[in-house]
Order: sequence, then structure tokens, then C-alpha cells
Amino acid sequence: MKQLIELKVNEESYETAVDPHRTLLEALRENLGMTGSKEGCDLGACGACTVIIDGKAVLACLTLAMDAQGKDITTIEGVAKERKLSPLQQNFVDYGAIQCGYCTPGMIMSAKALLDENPKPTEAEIKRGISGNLCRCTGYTKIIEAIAVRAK
Amino acid sequence: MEKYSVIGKRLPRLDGVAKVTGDARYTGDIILPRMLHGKILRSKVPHAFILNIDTSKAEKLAGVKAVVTGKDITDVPHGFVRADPVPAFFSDKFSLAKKKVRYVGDEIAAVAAVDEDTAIEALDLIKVEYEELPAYFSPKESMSPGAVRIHDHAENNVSVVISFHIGDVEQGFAESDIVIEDTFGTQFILAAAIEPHAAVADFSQAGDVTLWLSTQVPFYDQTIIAETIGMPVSKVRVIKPHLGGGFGGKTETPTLFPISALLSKKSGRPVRIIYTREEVLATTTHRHGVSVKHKIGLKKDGTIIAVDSRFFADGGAYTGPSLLSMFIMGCLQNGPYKMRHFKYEGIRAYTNRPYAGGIRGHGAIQPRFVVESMMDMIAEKLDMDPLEIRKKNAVKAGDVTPSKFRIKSCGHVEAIDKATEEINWKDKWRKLPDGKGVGMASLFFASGAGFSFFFNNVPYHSGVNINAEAEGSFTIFTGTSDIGQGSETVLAQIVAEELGVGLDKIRVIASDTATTPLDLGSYSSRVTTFAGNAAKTAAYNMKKKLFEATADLLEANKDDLEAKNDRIYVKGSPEKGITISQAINAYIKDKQDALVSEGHYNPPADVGGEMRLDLGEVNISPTFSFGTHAVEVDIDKETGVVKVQKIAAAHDCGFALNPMAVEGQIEGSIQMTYGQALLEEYRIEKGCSMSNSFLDYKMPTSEDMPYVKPIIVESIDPEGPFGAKEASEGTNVATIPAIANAIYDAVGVRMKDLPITPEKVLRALEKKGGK
Repeated sequence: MKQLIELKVNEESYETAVDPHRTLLEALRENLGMTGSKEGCDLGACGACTVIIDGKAVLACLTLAMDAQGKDITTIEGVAKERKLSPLQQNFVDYGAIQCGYCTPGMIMSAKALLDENPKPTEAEIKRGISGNLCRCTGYTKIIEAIAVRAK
Repeated sequence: MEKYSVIGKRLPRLDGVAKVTGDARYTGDIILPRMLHGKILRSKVPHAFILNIDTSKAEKLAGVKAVVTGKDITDVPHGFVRADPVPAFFSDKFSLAKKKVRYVGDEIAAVAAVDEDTAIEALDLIKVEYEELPAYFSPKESMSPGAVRIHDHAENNVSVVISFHIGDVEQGFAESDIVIEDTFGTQFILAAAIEPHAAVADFSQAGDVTLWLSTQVPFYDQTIIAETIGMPVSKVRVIKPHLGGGFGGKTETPTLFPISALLSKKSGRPVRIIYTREEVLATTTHRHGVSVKHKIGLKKDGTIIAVDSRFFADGGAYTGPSLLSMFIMGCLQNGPYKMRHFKYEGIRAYTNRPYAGGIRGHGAIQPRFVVESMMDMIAEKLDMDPLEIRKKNAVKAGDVTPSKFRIKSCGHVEAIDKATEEINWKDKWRKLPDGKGVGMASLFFASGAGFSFFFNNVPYHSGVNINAEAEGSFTIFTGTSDIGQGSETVLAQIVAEELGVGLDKIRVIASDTATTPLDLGSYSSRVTTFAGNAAKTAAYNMKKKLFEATADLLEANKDDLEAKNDRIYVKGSPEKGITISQAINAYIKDKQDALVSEGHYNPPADVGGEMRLDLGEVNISPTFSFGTHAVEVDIDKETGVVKVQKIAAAHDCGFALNPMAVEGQIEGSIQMTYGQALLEEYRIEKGCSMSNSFLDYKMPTSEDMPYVKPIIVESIDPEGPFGAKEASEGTNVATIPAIANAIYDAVGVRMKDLPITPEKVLRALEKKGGK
């Protein structure tokens, strides 16, 4: 039986009806049409669905939509402001940190959460910060570089 | 002044902004009105006849809009290598089983329902009656006398045999001073793109279908979907949206493509299917696991005389592209070393497991692990530096190999020098303390398959059209599939350079079988050479038209004109010119016609030809890439853990059209081979997957990856656009043997079986009795 919930995503409130077992990722993608957050494994193993909830990087595929009520949710769609890329996003573009781009939204959300909490992470801290985000294209090198440049 | 304005530069990719903002739409992001959700019922047994499928209960479930089985498809099976004279039995896969299932995961039925939960519930209501058959999980079992045939045509369950013999190896071994022989083994791994395979199909009332597919080969998919459903190819339109990684795993039409079209046809509504990660791992292309017997004969001075290699592959339940896999495991031994006599036999067996095909580094990873390990073993016997024996035997530009490959450019020796210098080889090899070591290995790869193995007859392998817009910009139409490697950006760079305009003046429309010209696909590292040449030709033809239209205006001969900085002017007098926009408008006014151009690429006459894979003497590609990896490792002798400190990877890509993209290809491709060397393995137990998720199938994370130093070597190839050749698959081919060779240098054990787990290292150390 579907229930009406209210989600606050990227500083806007949305009312939507979901079955109680539906995840935040499904609610974002299927109900709200925010398909920027990706599904790579649906098991919490790849990080492609990472969003930020109340300042922490969280796997949207392991979070029930109902449990996300009353919290501040930031998705990849909310990172650029007024059509201007954030410096972190710009670095991903400029430093070649993107190839297929499927892991990119989750990767940026993990990196953003890391930098928001620790603006000057070491290389080891960056690697740890994105270790839950799998990438099959880049070998992580240019992703780490893009984050490190931002941290400088 | 710099030679080039747009190529050779570290330019960001055209789709970068779309991909960092979440704007980029992948197949699974497409949501159509009234769209249904499709799910596939798969075999739970490894080998059986299907006696009956009862779908009646599923059909009655509220919310179910279509149920399909093997009865709903034509009797035309899928195949990947199918051009004449390839026998028809190599096409052996039905999208939905006809009478038999051959592995756990084979498709039996599919359902489209209003939501995913209903579709899953409906699958549970389908009753399948099996008559189980003996199942075989290794070639040893399936090829043993008396084994039941997995496919009717395959005696002894032999799937593919490729054998050729050039020269006379027996004579070669007789002439050799030393002969070395050994055996090796490799495991199954997967492409494991982060985007799961997905399809959205929309069948119209008028009887045509549009599909959005996660694919590397839209034009092949189009044909297979048409054949499976029984409709004209022209009624099937395939569009590839953004693709979340391919690596070979999306080269062979996965069954969800035709199934989604079929469900849409039957339900009259759009249907989306997205594979679960478990389905991706258990049912999409695996890299062949092989056992290898390899023999090399040499002169005392290290000159290779004869090579005899036998590859024995576990193929799984179907053929896929493995006719090519088995062929190139042999013929890619034609480089990077010279030899006089060469014998190869590749045998592939059918078994009741997920089937194997081509993954990044297709057909090169397995033989290169073997050959480069053998090179080090030989060097030790001859007391030579591994670097020297490789240089001594290196093929050179101008050489023709035993299989008639023509080497047009070759940066192999430069790659050896640069990679080994990067890790300080001279001071480290055999000189590091116990437990630490360095190793090196070289590579060799094709720049695109030189024959059309899918279609019998193609007008060209790659086509590019360009439209000029009056404002002074250009639109490229190309059938190539950007699978993340950045091909659209590179094609745009080529066109911009040729037309003398900025990259911001180029728009790319790609991968739509209805609107873009034919391109055979993104596989075999073909796009830069094939589509790159087509793009360059199309741009050149466009430029010629612009020069002709503006010669009178500029009161100059058209041959004296130059296009640069968004202008056309008389060579040497940039001030005497007009803008590109003015030139385009002059053409339109003069001709009263649209300004368009075309460029087509076919491999040169000395490449490819008829699909005669049995001969072993066929030049497979217009040109070849080279490279060397040098690595440094630390081994923990207590735990057997191998820690790779650094990988220096030098790759001869001919010319780096975009050095940042080439580096990205090198760094990224090594993630896969580093994984195959030490971590990754797809395992089954009695036919059932033991690798159901990324928790079981371990690939390297950011914390696992060693430091990779990419080194670009440029040999300016005569066949490639602006001298460029492949930089996407060859880039990772040397990693595994380089690591194995470094382990030997560190602790003196020769690892011949992949992956090199701590357990295997410890066992080898125990056997050796400690260094």
C-alpha cells in the first residue's frame, strides 16, 4: 500500500507516494524523475547512487525513501548553481576525470561530502573517501587529481 | 607556430558538463509514457530439455501486459561472426530458449508488467518442466568420451578449432640451440561496466520499433533484433544514448534487446528492461579462461626461431564472438617479436557455464601473459637482460610477420626504454633486496578488425557525414558509439583541425541507425583509425567545397587557400580572407544547395578480405600498436600479498590526438588488468554463480590501485588520421606478465596461473623452500 511522503531534495520539497519498501534511489529516479543518481548494483557495493543526506555521503539504494523524510537531501542535480558548475565539477571536466560518466554523479557526491567536511584531505584521505565508488574507466587517477586540485 | 590547433591538445570531452551535472541520459534513465517493466525468467538448471512452459497463471496476474517465450521468436539464432564462408552453426544462441537450456541463466520466458514487483511476481508463476541432462563445468568433463552433446552440431562438445602452421616448427626446433616449454592458465573475468545492460523498446501501432540500447554496436543489434522478431531491418531503429562503459561486455547483442522489442510489440506499450548486477555477471560476456601449452625455440644469442602454442579454452554454453577470440589468441602472437616458424592450435569447448567472448584486450591478454612470461624465462636461461632479449627480437616498421601482418609504424623499442627508465630498471633489476622486485613486459595489438565478419557486404566500415551551418559551424553525423572512451570528442577534434575551426564550432550527432551513417561499432580498437579517417576525409571534402566556393571571391587559386582560425585565406596572407561563415554562405548562394560532405573508410587492400580464419595468413588490421609496461612490486613473504608500487605504462598510439584521453585510456584499462592479475575471478560451483555481486566479484577500488604512470610514445603511423592508431585495448595488455615477472625478480617464484592470489604465492614460496 503506497504512502504519501515528503522529500526535501536540493532545497525543494516534493510530495510523492511510494510503497514502504521502495528505496530513496527509486523514489528519486522513478517518482521525481531525477535520474542523475545511478543504479549500478542495487546492493550498496558500487557507490553510483551516492547522495548527500544532512551532510553525509549516503547510498540511496540502501536508504528507504520513507526514512529520508524530513532530511536535507542533495543529489547531483543540486550541485551546480544557476547553471554554473561547482569548482569540483569543473575540475572533473578539465582534468579528464570522466569517461563513461556513469560513476561520476556518485563520485562527485562522495568527493563533495569529503571536501565539505575536510577541505584539505591528503591523497590517502581522498582515496579512502571515494573507495566505495567503483569506476571501471579511469583507474581513479584523474578523479583523485581533480579532487586533489580542488583541495589545494 | 604550432603545427596543429585542435589535435594533440589536452581538451576536455564534449559531454563533460552533461556528465558532471546528471544531465547525461543513459538508457536506464529513459522513462516513456505508459512504459512497462520487463523481467526475464532464467533457467535454474545447467542443462536440460524444456518439456513445457506454463505461462497461464502469469498471464492472468493483474498488471501483467505481455508474456513471451521461445515460441514468439523466429527460428533464426544470433551469431556475431557470421559473414560468408563462416558456417551457420556458429550462430547458436536464441534470445528465448527453443527446446533446451544450456546454462544456469539461459533465457526461458519474459514478462512485461506495470511495475517491477508485478513482473517479478509473474515470473514466479511461470511453471517450467525440465528433463535434466548431464551438465559439464569444464572442458575436461564436456569433452570426455560419452558426454552428451550440448549443441547437436558439436561432436565431443568442441565449439571452435582454429589451427594454422606457417613455416615448419619441427625444423625450427631442430635448428634451435635451446627449446623451452611450459604451461599456463588464466581465469574468467568480466567487463563489469558500472552501467548494467539496459533496453527501452517502443513498438508503434504502424509496426516499426525504436529502441534505446546500452550497446557498442547499434548496427549489429538492429539486424539481430529484426531477425529475431521477423521484421525488416529498416523497421528497427536503434539509438545509443550515453553509455556507461562497454569494455567488450556490450559488443554482443544481449538477449534483453530483442526481448524488450518483443514485449513492446505484444503489449502495445513501451517496455524497459534493466539487468540486475547478478544478471550482468552471470549472463553477459566473460573473458575466456584458458590453459596453454607453449614452446619456443631460440638460438644461443637469443634469436627466436620457432613458436608452437596450443590454447585450450573453456567457452561456456554458446559461441558468441569466440571464433575471433580463438583466432586472435593465435595471430596476435605475430608481434611484437620476430619468428620464422609459427604453429598455433586453439580449441574451444562448450560447457554448461556462462559463455565467453571478447573483453578489452580481446585475444591478446591470455597469449601475452604466456609469451612475456616465457621471454623472461628464456632471458634467465641465456643470462640476458629481459630488456635486451625483447629488443633483440623486436619487429620493426616495414616488417611483414609470418601471418602477413604489415608493420607500418613501431614504437616498441622506444616504449621499452621509456618504461624501464621510468622505474629505474638498470639500478633495480636483480638488485633489490629480497621481497622487492621489478618486471617488464611488452604488448602488441591491432588498430581495428580489418574484415567485416558480421555483414557479408558493407559499402564501407565507417562513414561520416558533415553538414555546414550558415552561422559558421558544422554538424558531424557518425554511426560510431562513444562508450566512454571519448570517440565523439576525438572525431570532433579531427574535423575541427581539418576545417581550421575551433572545437566549439563542432556538434556531433552519433549512434542512431536511422539518421547516422553506418559504422561497424566500437570494438577491436577500430574507432580512431577507421572512423577517424572517415571524419578526416569528410572534413577534407568539406574544405575542398569551401575553397572552390571562395576562390573567386578571394581572387586566388583554390589550391592556394588555407583554413585556419575560423577563416579561409590565401596561404601566407591571413589578412586576405573571409570567415568560415561567409564562405559557407557563398557556397549556398552560389549553388543554391545545402553544403554537406561525406567521408568513408575501408581498410586498405592488403588488409582483411574473406573470412578465412583457418589459414592463419591474413593481415587482420590496417596497423598495430606497441608498448611496454614496467612495474615494481613488494611481496610480503609471510602473507603472500603482492603490493604493486608502480606501473610505468608506455604506449605507442601513433599520435596522441588528445593526450589527456590517451592517458585516461592507459590508466583506466590497467585497472582491469591489475584486477585480473591479482584480484578478479568469476567463479561458479556446479554451474551456479559464486560471484553474484561486486562484493563477491572483486575489482580494484581507489585504495587498491597502484600508481600508474602513463607514457605516450608517438610513431606517426602512415595509415592513421594524423598518424594516430589505437590507444584503448593494447594499453593494458602487458600489465599481467609485467607483474608476474616482477614477482619472480622479487622472490624467485614463477606464477603461471591467474589470478595471482596470496594463497598461490605462499604455496609457490613453500614449494621453493624460501629464498
